[in-house]
Amino acid sequence: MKFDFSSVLPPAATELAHSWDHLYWFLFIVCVVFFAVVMVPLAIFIFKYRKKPGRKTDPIAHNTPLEIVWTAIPTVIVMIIFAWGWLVWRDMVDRVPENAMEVHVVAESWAWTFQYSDGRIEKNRLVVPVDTPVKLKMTSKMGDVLHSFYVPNFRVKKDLVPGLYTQVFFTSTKVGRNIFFCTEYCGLGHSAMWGEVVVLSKPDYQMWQYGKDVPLPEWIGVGGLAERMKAGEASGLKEKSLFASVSAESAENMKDRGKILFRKMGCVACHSNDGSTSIGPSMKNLYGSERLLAGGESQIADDNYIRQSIENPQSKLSKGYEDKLMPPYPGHLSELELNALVAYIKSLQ
Amino acid sequence: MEHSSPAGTTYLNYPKGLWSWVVTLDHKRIGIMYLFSVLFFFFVGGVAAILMRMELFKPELVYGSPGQIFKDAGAYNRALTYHGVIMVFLVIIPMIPAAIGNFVLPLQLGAKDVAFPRMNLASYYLYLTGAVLAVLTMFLGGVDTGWTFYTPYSVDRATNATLMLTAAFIIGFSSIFTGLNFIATIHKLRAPGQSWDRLPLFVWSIYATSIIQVLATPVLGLTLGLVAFERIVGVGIFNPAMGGDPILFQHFFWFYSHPAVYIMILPAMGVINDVIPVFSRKPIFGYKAMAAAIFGIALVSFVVWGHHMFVSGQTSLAGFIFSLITMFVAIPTGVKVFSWVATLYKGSIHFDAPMLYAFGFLFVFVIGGLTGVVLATMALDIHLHDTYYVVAHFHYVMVGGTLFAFMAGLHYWFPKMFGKLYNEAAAKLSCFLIFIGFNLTFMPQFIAGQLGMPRRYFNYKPEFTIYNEISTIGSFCVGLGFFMALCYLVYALFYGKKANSNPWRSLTLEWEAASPPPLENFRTDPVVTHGPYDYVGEKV
Amino acid sequence: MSSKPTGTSGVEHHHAHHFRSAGHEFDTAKLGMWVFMVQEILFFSALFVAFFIFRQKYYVDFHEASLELDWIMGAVNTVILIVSSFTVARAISSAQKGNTEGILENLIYTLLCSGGFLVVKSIEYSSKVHHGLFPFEIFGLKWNVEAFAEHPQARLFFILYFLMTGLHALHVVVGAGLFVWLYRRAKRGEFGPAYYTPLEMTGLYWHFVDLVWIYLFPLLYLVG
Repeated sequence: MKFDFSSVLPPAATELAHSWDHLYWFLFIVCVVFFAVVMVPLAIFIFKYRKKPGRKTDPIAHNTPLEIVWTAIPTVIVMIIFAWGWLVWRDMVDRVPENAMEVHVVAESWAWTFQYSDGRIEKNRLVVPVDTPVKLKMTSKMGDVLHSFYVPNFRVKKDLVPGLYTQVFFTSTKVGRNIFFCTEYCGLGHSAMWGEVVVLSKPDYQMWQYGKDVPLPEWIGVGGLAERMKAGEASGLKEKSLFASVSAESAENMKDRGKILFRKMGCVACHSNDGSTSIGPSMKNLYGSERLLAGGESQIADDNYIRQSIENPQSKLSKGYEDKLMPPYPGHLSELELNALVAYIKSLQ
Repeated sequence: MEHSSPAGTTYLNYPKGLWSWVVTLDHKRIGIMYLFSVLFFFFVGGVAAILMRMELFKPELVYGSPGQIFKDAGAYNRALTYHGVIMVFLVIIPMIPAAIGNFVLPLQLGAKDVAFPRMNLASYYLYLTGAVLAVLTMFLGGVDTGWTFYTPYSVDRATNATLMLTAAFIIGFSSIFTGLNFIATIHKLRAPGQSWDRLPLFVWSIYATSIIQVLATPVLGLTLGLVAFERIVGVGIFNPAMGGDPILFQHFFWFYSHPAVYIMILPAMGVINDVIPVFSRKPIFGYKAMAAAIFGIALVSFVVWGHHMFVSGQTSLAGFIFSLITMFVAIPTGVKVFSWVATLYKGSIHFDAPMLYAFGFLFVFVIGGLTGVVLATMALDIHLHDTYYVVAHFHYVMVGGTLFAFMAGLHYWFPKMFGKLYNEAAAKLSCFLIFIGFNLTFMPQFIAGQLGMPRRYFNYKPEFTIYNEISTIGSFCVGLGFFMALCYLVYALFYGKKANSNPWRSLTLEWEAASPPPLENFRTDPVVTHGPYDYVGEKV
Repeated sequence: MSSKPTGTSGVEHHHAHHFRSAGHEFDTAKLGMWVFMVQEILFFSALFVAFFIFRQKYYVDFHEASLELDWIMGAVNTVILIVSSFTVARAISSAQKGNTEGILENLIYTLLCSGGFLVVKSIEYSSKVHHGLFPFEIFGLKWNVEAFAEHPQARLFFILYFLMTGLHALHVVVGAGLFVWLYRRAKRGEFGPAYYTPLEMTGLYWHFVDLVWIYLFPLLYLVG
């Protein structure tokens, strides 16, 4: 039974998510029934026994059979709820599939690093094949804080703790992109620390493994709207709002591509583009300016400077920002993407 | 100190002078001071909430740009921390026990004061000191840990947290002393004839609450103290680099903070227990079961803390136990809800403001409680934990439950406290506004949460926009309702019609004292000859 | 020790107006004190729980670390506190008999015991500091990493050791202060068979302080 209740639940992209949904709807029905069991008599009594002159009240204060019933029935029901909840939990958490593909996840403030068993490293993006069990071994960097990995479409969530490995697993049955969020408060970049789980068809996944370019599949559920709005696809995809939708921007050239990357790769979490103060230096008027570095020397911010700052920020710390933790982004931004970013930053004059 | 006041005076005007209030040992004056302080901080915390809702009116538009209200995520994170800390520690926990309980409890027992009046005054000043220190941190750069102070963030990354932690520690002792005082008062200062089975259920609920306050708060005090200590000396038991355990903090924290939510709701249930019989002219249904349920809830509340930690990294076995026991809280709670409705059966229902708030309480508390069962279900919590579903759940029980019950109690005991009546039509209107606004604010958050919107988010994905817009509009409606309440209540203080000693024709003992009572409460020593809810065969 | 105050004494005591009698006040104060003790037990229990958890996790390191503690000093302190509980009880029974000299004498013994306890504690603490076993990096002190190079979690043991015994010692200091206050009131003749509530309450507090140490000593010094 696969209903699509996408209006109130995220699309279920795994079998276990469907299991979860069934449990949820059972609870929902139980809640509605109990709500009615309380509210309907309440409404009736309020109306029927409202104050009237000459009305005599009946001081009934006990009814043992009734009290037994309303203690026993809820007890039975919560036991059923507990048992069903335990069974689904067991399937979602304890029954790790054999031969699951393992990926290591390291969270830091405020980025995710996915390390595949073949050595590849991706930032903020997990790429997996469809219909394949995947197991994530997760931890937070030592010296960092708690984070939490949450994929709404998979109904999967687990905290990442420094000094400890935690684990989630899933088998996605739908090709597509699924958003993931950080759901343990971790400071400034907490709401900026999202990413995507890209589920590719098996042939596409093989191509990706060999370093070939593969088209990104469509978003499933939450995640697509912001991108589509900014890419200018307004038709039929209005932001669900009571008010007028926001204006979109189009991505025709390298600068705009860089602007999109600036957001997607999480740079905006710490660097503004309009001169306002943030955690890191603003990108406005950065290009071509003379930068005072932490070691005391100064350098003109040219193309190389920008590229090195992205790939190895610790080597190019600006004075006054020595204690800020910019995560490095080596090796998983393509040349084209790096060029686009440099072009964008150059344009912020 | 004088102990018998001149005829015609009340506790408000005798003894005279501001200084007599500053050093008062009179439980009624202390209760009123708590009342005004709590309401003041409620408005401060409410302003923080309105600002947050205004910020959340729109999603991220240009990602990373300044928000609608706050210049950046840091400012928003501080706002959410202050909203939480102020509302939890300065408002909701002391709201009914300290503000209403201090005033009403000795009167309901027929006592002249609480057991330890000096300790009572000390409690108030500890509260005030902690509150001022906590708010002071706002002006020293602010704290951004969230009210839960999770480690390692609160040790390594937070600013100004040490002072805030100290403030919370101090307030904890205020809570402990209040609880201690009430336990001794209930045991030792009952009037003749005031046997255990004639106690109003409000007293039973304060008793259970006091036990929780005394047992749970010290653990929080020590835990927050350990975090402050770790911040100062650099090493401690929560630091993983040193073999410590950040999750241990969560266990200690929730060992207090789960019972703490019952410190919030049990007195609220106590108020409802007292209000419903009066305004339906009937005894409460199942008095003994009601009292037993209060203690059942209090007892179970101590062993369920891990249901806040299903996805933290605790074992599945631990989760199994905590989920199972949490389910058992639902049973006595259900008994109470059904009994309240049953009390109305064949009664004669009056629709005064206290009763309207009681109805509102029933509606929103049932929703809050049922969604609590949803969250207690292990597998369901995986998807819903740390999303807006949880935010909606706890606001339904804390605001819908405790705050609505507080409003019921405030309107019920207002004539006793101040000797004045408020404008009933204004009270009904503002109750309606608050009720509608409250549901508009928090109902959409259930949907946003189950769709995946995480909590404590400065920016959110545009797919969640409509739920946030409705929620923000609702929050303004709530704010308007409370502002209205402030207006007509303040007006009533000065210009309200004079109230007689028992405008609601209630049978509990506090209504035998004058409105407002004199310093010594009862001019002749009271003797109790009937139960608190013995409305028999009433004709109105 | 639990009989109610009767008869007369030197200075007249007026019980608070909301109590029916001095006996009523005494009973209520006693209940309040017991509730306070329960609260204190919970306060300490968090540290005890933390200790149990980490001891189970790092059994070897904790065992090695606990060998550094001098159990003889710990035992001496245990005896000192037990004796002081005894002298407090004698002070109270002196009050019940109207013997002010007895109150003063026994309070002095109790104060000497608490002083002795703190002296032994400071000897222990300074010995730890001297060996670099102070785990907190304040006052310019550093943890001696070489001492437990193969048992790094020993530092955690010492963190808990100092926290638990430090919190306890703080309670001893508070108790000593209370005894000084009681001494001055007794000197003014305020205590006698009709009224000795503050003595009784402080005595309860002191027995609690003693009890906490009776758990701390074996846990930290012996069981390891």
